[in-house]
Amino acid sequence: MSDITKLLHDWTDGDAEALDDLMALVFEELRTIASRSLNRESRAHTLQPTALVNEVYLKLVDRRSVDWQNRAQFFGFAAELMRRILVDHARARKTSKRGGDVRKISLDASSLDIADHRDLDLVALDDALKALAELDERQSRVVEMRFFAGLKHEEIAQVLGVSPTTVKREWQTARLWLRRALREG
Amino acid sequence: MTPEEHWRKVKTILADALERPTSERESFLDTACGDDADLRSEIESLLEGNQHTNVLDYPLVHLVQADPQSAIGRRLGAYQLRRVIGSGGMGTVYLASREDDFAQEVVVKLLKRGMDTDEIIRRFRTERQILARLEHPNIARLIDGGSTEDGLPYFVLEYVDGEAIDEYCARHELNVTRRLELFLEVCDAVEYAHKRLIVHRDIKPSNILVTHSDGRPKLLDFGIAKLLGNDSEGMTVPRTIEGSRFFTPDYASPEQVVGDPVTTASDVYSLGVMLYELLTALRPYRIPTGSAKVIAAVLDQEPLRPSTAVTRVVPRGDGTSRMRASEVARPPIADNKRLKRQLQGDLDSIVLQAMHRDPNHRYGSSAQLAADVRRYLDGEPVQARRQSHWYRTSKFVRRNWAVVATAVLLFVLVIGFGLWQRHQFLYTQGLLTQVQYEKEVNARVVGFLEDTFQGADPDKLGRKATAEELLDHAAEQLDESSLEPDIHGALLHTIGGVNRFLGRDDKATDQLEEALEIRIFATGDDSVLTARTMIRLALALQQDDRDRAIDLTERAIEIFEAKETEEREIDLGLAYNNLGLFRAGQGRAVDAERLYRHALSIKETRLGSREGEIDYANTLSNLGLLVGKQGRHDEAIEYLFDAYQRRHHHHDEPSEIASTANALAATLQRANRQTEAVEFYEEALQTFARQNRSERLRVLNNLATLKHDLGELAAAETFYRQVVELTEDMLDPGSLPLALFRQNLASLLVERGALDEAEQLFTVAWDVVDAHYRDEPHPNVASVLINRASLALAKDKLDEARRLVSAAAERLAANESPPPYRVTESEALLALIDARLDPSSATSLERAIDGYHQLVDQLGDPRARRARNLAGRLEHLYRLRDETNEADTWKIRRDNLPTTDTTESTLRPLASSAPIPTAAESS
Repeated sequence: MSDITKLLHDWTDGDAEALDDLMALVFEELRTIASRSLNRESRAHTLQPTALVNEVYLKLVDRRSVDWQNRAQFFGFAAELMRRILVDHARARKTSKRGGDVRKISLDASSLDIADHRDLDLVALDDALKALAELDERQSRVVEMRFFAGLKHEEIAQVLGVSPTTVKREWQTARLWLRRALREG
Repeated sequence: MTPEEHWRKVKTILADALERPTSERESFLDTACGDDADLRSEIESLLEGNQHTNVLDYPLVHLVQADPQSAIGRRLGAYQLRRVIGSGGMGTVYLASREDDFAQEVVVKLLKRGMDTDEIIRRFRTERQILARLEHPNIARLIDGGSTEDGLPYFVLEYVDGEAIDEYCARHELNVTRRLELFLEVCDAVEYAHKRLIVHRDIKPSNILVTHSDGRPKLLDFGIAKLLGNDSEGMTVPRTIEGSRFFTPDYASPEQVVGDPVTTASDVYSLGVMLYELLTALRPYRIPTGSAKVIAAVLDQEPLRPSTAVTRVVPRGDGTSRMRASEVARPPIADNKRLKRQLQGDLDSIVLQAMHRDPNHRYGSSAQLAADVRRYLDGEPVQARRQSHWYRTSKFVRRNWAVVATAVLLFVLVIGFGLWQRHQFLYTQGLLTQVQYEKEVNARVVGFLEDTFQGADPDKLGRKATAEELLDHAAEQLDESSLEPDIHGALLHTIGGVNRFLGRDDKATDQLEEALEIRIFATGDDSVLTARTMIRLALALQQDDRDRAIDLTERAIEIFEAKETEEREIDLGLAYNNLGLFRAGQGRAVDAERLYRHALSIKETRLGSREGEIDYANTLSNLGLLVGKQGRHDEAIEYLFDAYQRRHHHHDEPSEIASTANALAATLQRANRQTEAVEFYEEALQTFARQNRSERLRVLNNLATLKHDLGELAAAETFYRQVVELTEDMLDPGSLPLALFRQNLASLLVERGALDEAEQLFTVAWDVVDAHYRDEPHPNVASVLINRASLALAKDKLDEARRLVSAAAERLAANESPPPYRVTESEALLALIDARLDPSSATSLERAIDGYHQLVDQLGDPRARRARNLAGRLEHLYRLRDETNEADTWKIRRDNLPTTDTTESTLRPLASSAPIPTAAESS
């Protein structure tokens, strides 16, 4: 059993400190992969959809020995990490550009031209999510897990310990709230 | 209530509302929000966002890639990945080699995560046997496949060292023939696979590489699209594009786009699109971004004929303009005009048949497509043209039988058959009568004629080039020959006639002048033959020298009147008709009418036969148009309908029937018989939809304004949009007609309440109109300004509205004879705005009410649209003055105004009694 798996077990068993160790361990790996992906300048290699968290997860965790509960927990905090990494990256990028010129991260999903859906100001989204958390902490967590980690409603429900229907309702209303916030902001 | 509590309340109602069907939300909110208007409007504004795509719906994390380079050096089966050679929607493509044999290079496609791995591998197992059997020199082989340790599927394919077919064609500057030959090889490979029931599903230039070694095209990825599946619910794929995942929108067939089963016909379609691109370096459609738009584009857009596309100015960029195919240079043919001629006719037809929207109308197989391309290369008539409507009826040949017959005869003669001389000899020896002589000659050439002119295009779109070349060649030969004068004259008469028919009036004039001289010399200045040449020359001259055209025709009539020939009626009927046409052109309507009527009385003798009926209908149409211009609508309608019926019953060309239907509809519209007009416009549209874009545009625009007048706003919007779209295709973005069409659409949208879009359109249109007229006080400028003011008013921007109306009034004041309706309208609108700005100003209100009453009076005809708008304004004004009774009266008038015309038809109900037009005609 790898360290990560053990820490995950400890964490789900109620050992709060295990989470800190776990995060420290995973964070570095996530950061490396994310920055390598995002810094790629060559246009020949357009960014492709690959579940980054999945990648890390597969790398770090021996999947046969981790049960569903653990996996969900892992994703829960990986989502938070992912958000931090991606937003920090976007923020750094924003300021490093001359005069702080706003450059939206545009990620090509595929050769299909749906790029116009992909323009997103992550920093603005992060701010909006913080505002949402003020109003409703759980909703911001739902968005984080779904959007930043690509979790399914069932998985999010596992992490939060609520029903998938609740997750769906939280998600559907949160996405409308955020849309309004992003458009107004 | 704290913000948190408030949001909890909002989100509960919002979530409940979202769980209900859209139709029930309204009533749900009535209950849930009670009389809390703020709450209600907040929830409604949030709900509104639900109609739009939301960037949050696609998890960001799936879009961040793992580094493709990191897989280099990795072993998959017997192969080691060496370098990345490409990446696309489904994954990364590597060059790899066998570990034990470094020289054996292969391509490995490593699919990205998020695709439905298990399903792909399962499909691969079932299909691999079939795919492995694809052994064809033009198909890259599938060698192996499997999944990586961490579960990513991959395929191993034969490595092809080459470049994409379009780039190859461009770089080697291949001519059309070479491009077609390459294309034929592709078709053969596709056919080979189809026979083994394997459909490619993603044929496009980048999937066809031409090898560097021997210049042969090789198809990549045969069957791969099916392995990847069209129905997989991959977790990273947004729902809306699920079905569209593994094809390329530009090349996908309509059935593919909508998710219907994909068959070999879909590949034929993609081959058609690719051929289009290889020949023109253009894509046939504008494919916008967004999946719904992709579907709409493929389903709704009419591809331009390749020959039309190549000479069209192609603006780049903004997604609304037709895109050049990327990085593909034009074939290095001297110029677009020459390329256009090459594509016109056969190649146009082949491409468009392969790309037919309905799979049943495409070529039945890629072999049939290839066979037609071969026919073209061999100079044989192609099947595609046989099957198109206009091809079958080959108007050129049938209607101008004599002209073509003689032209072909001429050709025969010039190249040495000597047929004419022999008959001419017999004729001059008195062994044949003139009629026998002509009949004999004609009969001899019929067979030859049918073969040679099978491709002649009646609608001046197709085979013109060949006919012109034939004629020019013949004319040159004739110039150098030393024929007897009467033959020489006859041949020039013929060539000149064909040239005139083809619209080459200058050439025709020269040749006919010469023919006339020769004929006068050979047969005398009072012979029927001379007179016929005069008639023909007059037609060629009608634009440039109408007086001379009239002289010539009058002289010809004298000659025909004096002679007793078998064809006297035909000659005279034509001559009087033409003279009438010229007189009408001079504005001498009374003379013209007399001449038309006389022509009709002559033509009556030949009624009953098809030719006679159609000939009669021609003059009848002319008469109808003439009296229609004088405002004699009922008569005009009678004549045009008569002509229309005759054309119909005797199977005239669809385009002729449609032209008459169009003229009839326009006359009906002027006579306020809107409903009937609509039916005839629609009939005309049906025909023009297949043929003539500028005619279609005219009809569409007429229909749009008509529907607008009738208050059928939804229909009007549809037509206006089609008009705008068609114009966008045909004209520059900054052209005036386009701007005016846009402003028509915008003013309709104001009435329909789509204010935002209307505003956008007005802004765009205004820039063009303003730039075009500058300070010229043209009524069009005032119209646009008034329309913009109405919009501002609707949006409660009173100051802006006032500014715009004032500007309109200034323009109108500067005009010498401004349209009175517009003047009153601008004054009334100004008063209305003033009344709104200062509700206490009784005078403004008074002026506005007066003005609108005047407008109602001026309106006269029951044009529902304006009447309704005016009634609405008056209702509004009376309410401002608190005169509720009067306001209610206008409201009732407004609500009860006819949405269709109520004028009684004094004549037969035309459209319903007319037989339904058939698209097919006798062949």
